[in-house]
Amino acid sequence: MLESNFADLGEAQKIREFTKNAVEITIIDRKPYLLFVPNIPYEVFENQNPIFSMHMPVAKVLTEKGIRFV
Amino acid sequence: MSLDPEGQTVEFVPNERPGSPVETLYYDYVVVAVGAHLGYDQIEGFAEYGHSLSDTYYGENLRRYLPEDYQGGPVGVGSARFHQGTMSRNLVPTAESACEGPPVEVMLPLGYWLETHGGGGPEKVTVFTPGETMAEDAGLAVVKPLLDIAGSLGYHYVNHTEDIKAITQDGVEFANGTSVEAELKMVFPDWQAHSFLHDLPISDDRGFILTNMMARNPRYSNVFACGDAAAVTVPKLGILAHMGAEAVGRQIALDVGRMSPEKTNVNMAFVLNCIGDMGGNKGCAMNSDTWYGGKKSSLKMGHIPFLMKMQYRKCFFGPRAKYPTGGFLRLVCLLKN
Repeated sequence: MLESNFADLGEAQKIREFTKNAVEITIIDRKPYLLFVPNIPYEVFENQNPIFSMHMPVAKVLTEKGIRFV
Repeated sequence: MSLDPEGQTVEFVPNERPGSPVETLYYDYVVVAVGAHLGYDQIEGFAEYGHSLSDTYYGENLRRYLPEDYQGGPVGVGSARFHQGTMSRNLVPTAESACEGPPVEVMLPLGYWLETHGGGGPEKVTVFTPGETMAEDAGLAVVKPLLDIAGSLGYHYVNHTEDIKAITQDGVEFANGTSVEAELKMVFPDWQAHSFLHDLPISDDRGFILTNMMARNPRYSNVFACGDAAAVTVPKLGILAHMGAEAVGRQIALDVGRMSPEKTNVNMAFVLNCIGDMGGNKGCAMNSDTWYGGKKSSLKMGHIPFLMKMQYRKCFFGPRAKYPTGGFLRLVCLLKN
């Protein structure tokens, strides 16, 4: 799976949910976090640096679901 | 990164430290969900005079700019033209902009910010669109009341700009020969396919990955795509990434014998679900499929949509990073209907 952002968590979790353990999943991503784009404007207009709140680490979560993260 | 559908390999360079050689990975199935190249680099003058809010870098730039450098002048908010491929026209309509949720979600809270920071209010903001109607993919029954409300609040509206030609110190110049005066220029670019996807046998004429409405490539049955990288994902909107992700999961489950054809071979029925911030702890929730030929059309505004937007983030950032699916999305639909 070649990943970037929103679609990655969803498809990885859905493939794992629907196939159980019938497949080995590897995600290749250039960054180890999800950039939560939708709330960046809110953070900025609330005078909060979005880099502190809009990055969600994904490697550990995916590994716990049996998904290799590269 | 590179992808070879014939050889079923992906090449990539580990990027945590510079200097790694190319690594090769063989696959049985590949899912292309690499998002898009946001073409700010195609907009003349953006680096010098433009602002945006599509990532934390630009967000922090704007956060620092507003109190330190903004002098209270006019504001322009809008999109460049989206250059959609032509090979999925039988599956989805053609859009003039990649997604105009972001400009809507900037103009409304920005107007509120101006009001609450002594900078005037919505009357300073001009919103522009390359197309006939801003956010036309949400359907006229949703967009027209929203634009009417925005107009009554004082926002200015310009359509048919065709494209952003250049950003200057004084404003935004458009491809149709007109311009908007603006001190603060908030723009959203063309969503383009990543360069490594261009000219592949799985890609359309703009480099987006061709799929059917079950997220599977018609030529290489072990290639899937979802999210912004997929040609059928128009507009480039989160809910469609949700739907594509689920379709991919079902199709692979079908192939490995974990799900029946009856449950999996169902075309995605695209619908636009979008919750935008309006400022002042209010939000607007849109639910519409009229652009795709359906009859759903709903617009709700107030504190509850704002609460839903904040909760959506919590779904991701919780301890299990649960991707919001059925329950949350059904709740959103209940709210909207």
